[in-house]
Amino acid sequence: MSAPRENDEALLARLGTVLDELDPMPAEVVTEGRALFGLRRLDEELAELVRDSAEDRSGLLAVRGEGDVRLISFETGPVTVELQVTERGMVRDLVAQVTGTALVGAEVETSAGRQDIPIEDSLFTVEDVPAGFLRLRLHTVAGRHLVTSWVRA
Amino acid sequence: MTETFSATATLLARAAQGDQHAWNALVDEHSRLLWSVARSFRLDAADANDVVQTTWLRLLEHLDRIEDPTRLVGWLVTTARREAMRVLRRSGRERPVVEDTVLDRPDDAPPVDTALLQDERNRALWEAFSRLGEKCRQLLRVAVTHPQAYDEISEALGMPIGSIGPTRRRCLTQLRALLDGTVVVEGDGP
Repeated sequence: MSAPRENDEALLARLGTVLDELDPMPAEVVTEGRALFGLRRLDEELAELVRDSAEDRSGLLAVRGEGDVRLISFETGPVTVELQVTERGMVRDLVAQVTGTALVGAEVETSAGRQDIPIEDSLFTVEDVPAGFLRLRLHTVAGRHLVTSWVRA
Repeated sequence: MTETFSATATLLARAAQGDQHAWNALVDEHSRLLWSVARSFRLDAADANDVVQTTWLRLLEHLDRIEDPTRLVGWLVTTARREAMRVLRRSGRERPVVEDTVLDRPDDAPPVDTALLQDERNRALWEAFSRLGEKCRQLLRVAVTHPQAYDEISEALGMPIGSIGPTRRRCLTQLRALLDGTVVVEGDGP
C-alpha cells in the first residue's frame, strides 16, 4: 500500500517544514542582523577588501596555528590599507600601513567598541584586539573618514 | 515578482537613507535564506550565524552601491556562499575545491538529532535530503525559502540561467529515489 505520489510543490513544502523543524534559525540571527544597522554612518567612505591571504590557498587545506600572519588589503581610489593580523590565542595583533593619504587619526573597531590607535607616519600597530569582527576607521588630514570592510579575524 | 522587486528597490533606497525599519524588513525577509545557505555548508550554528551577519555587514557597506535591486537575492546568496567558504578555509575544514561540480556526492551524517522528529515520514525525508549532494541540498533549501527567485539563484549558485528548472527536477527526482529506496548512493553507510 502506498500513498499517492506528492507533486514537486508538495514535496518542497514538506521539506520546508522538515528543515524548519530540524534546523530552525535561532531568533538572535534576525535580532543581530537588525542591530548591525547601528554601525552604519553616512559620512564614511568604504575602503573595500581587495585581497586576503587567508583566501590565497587555491583550495588546498589551510594550515593554521598559533602565530599565523594574515595579510589583508583594502582600497578606495588611490588609498591603500595593508593590514597584517597576527593570531595569538583569543586576541589579535595588528600592524597597518596606509598609503595614498595622510592621516590625523585612526581607530580599530570591534563589536566591543572602538579604540584609538597612535599613528606614526603612515604605520600603526595595535595589540590585544579581541578575536572576531573588526575594521579600521581612518581620519585623513583632508577631513575624510574612511572605514575598511569588516573582516573576521 | 515585479512587485517584490520594486519593493526591494524601495527598501534598499530607504535603508541607504538611514531608515532602520527598511533595514529590518530586508533582514526579516532574507535571513532564513542566508541561514539555509550557511547551513548547507554544514557549518555549526555559531559559524552559520557569523556567515549571516557578515553578509549583512557586506550589504550595509554596499547599500548605496547595489545597482540592480532585482539581483539582491543573488547577491546575498553569492556573498553568503563566499563567506561560508571563507569560514571553512580558515578553520582548515575545507576539502579541495570541487564544490561546484559535485552534484551527487553523499555527505557526512547530518548534524542534527533526528530523534526530534516525531513524524516517521518526515524523518525519512530528512535522511534522504541529507544524502543528496551539496549542490542539490543548497538548491532545494533555497527553493524552499525563495521559490520565485530562480534566475538570481541559478546565477548565484554558478548554474546557467534556465538550467535551474531541470536541475531542480533532477534533485527532486534523486530525493524521491532516495525516499523510495530505489537507489543506493555510493559511499553510503554508517
